[in-house]
Amino acid sequence: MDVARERYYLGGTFVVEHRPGRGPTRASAVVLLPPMGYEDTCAYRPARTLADALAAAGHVVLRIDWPWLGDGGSDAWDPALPERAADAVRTTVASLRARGLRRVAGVAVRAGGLLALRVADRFDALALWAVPASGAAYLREERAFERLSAARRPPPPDDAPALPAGALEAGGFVYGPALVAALEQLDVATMAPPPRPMRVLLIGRDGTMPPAAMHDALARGGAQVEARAGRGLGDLLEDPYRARLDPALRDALLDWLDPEPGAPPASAAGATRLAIGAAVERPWRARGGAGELSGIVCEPADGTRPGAPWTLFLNAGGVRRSGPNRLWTTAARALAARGRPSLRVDVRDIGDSDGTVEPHRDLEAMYAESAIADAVQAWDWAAAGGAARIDVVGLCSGAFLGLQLAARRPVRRAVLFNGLAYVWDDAARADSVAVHVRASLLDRRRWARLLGGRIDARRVARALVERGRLSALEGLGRLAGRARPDPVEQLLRAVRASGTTLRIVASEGDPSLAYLERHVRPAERPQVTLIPGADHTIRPVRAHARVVALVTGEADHDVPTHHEDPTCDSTTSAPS
Amino acid sequence: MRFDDIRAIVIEHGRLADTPGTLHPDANLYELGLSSLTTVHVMLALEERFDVEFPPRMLSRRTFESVRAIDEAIAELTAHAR
Repeated sequence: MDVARERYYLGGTFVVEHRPGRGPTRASAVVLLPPMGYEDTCAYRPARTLADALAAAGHVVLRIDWPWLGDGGSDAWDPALPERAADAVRTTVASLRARGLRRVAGVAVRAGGLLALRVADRFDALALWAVPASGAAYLREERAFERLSAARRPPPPDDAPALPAGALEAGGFVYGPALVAALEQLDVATMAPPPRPMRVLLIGRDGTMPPAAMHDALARGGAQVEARAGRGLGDLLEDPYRARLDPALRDALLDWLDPEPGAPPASAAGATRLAIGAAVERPWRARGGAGELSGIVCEPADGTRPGAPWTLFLNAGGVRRSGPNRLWTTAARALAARGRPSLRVDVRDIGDSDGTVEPHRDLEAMYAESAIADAVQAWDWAAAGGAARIDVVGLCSGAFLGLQLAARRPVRRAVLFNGLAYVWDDAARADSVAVHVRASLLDRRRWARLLGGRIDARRVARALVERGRLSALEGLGRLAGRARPDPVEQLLRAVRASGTTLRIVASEGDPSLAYLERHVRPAERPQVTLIPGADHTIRPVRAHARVVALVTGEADHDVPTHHEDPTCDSTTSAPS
Repeated sequence: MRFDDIRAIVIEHGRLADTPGTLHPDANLYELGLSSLTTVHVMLALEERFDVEFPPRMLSRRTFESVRAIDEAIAELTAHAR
């Protein structure tokens, strides 16, 4: 696909530009406004795919992060957030017009559309996909999501702090009081209509038409409203490593956008750095095995403290570099405030790094040697830049990448959260399959994936046979008094022997605890730091401060630790 | 009739791998792949189809754990609406 990409900042807004390569340019540019919260985490990679497709058709496309999400310049507690969000849209649209692009269309998804409607006057056309009729309706959905999610988590500790009044938590993300209050005021039926006629494409949720009240309100203001039943929302909001863009939705947007040719625009005039309190961030890129690797460097605004280590943050499953619940962005900025630089990196196929645009078929890609090679490349970049000591941080598959990296390069300290596999071989495949199977023998969705070709059934079968063979060999070895060394135990021992300080962290009851007990003998087992009341991806939000303290090293001595927990439940989660 | 509508909504919005003919009214939907997020999608589709609104007290996994449980919840909501 002949598309050029560039990342920069407009004010405090992180922007990814996709523009046509050598082909003709259209007069109409596009701003993609993402959903919020956990939905943004899921939709990030499909949004990149959509932006590429629109750019390949000749449109200059800017994707933004909302200020409190991803690599945005603020956080959820910012009292000025509603105005910052509106400013982010205004500034982004203005930057396109300043480059000679005469028309700007907004393509907004879910609650991103509510914020787009606040500044609808800036656009010439708006496509609104599955946008709720009001902020109150959206917040009700998020409250329901949180209520249903919370029922699956361990109970909170007795001393768990409550969220401040007026704030809302959903799926590991916070909506601060200012944003909640602003969203509650947004109702499409009562909002001032756009001041001039514009084209509006309303796309409903899957299988349903958009809210009639929204259609009527926009039409009353003189907009030419076209309404369609939706499709593809469920695909978009699958978990991050399985999310995909429905091609029919992509084609519908391409058909709707103004095709008029235009002159190539002037170059983007975005900033290459963003100052955020005590931190300064900038996009990072490197040549990887699958194309460009992407990341964000975060450095102390006042300069790196002498001798301070660098920290590499690695992807958690298919979640982009900002980390689960944006934890890596938060932790990176906390490190910068302590004089410590960091790089949060996307390995191939994830976030903004090149690679496949297809959803992950199974777990293989996230545990592949190629993903390890990308992590090694990030380490090599930091070392080449003078980093004498390097830490790594990862969760789940990121914990795997972190330990594998530490086996290949000197790592000062590895902070590894909820690693469900540290060695990816047939035994690990068998274990992960076993976790899937134990999760529910009757989980027909998983079996349907397996049998439907989305998971390689032959490989799984081989893995299960291998698991059985290894178990039998281990049993015989124990009987004969010569137990075969477990590769996980060997790897952990080797990494420790190389001088790496291992900080293994597990959410209370996480299957990663059972994994260690299965693979590492008690005398060899590393001490595990427990996070009480949190799930596999460190939700709820009250657990986040502890994560940041563990990353910075300030919590090394004040958290409960795990030695032996035969009651921990290994059936609740599979590697991701 | 309502069972069929509920079943169709669950299959379309719940992202299950199952088919209408094999989704038993008492099958546990969470074991079939229903997640917290897709439960919300199912809830919204049900609300639109049956012109009801699930109050906060009904926003639990128990309400959505099977087609039969959903049917009972909707029956309760529509009875209150009359």
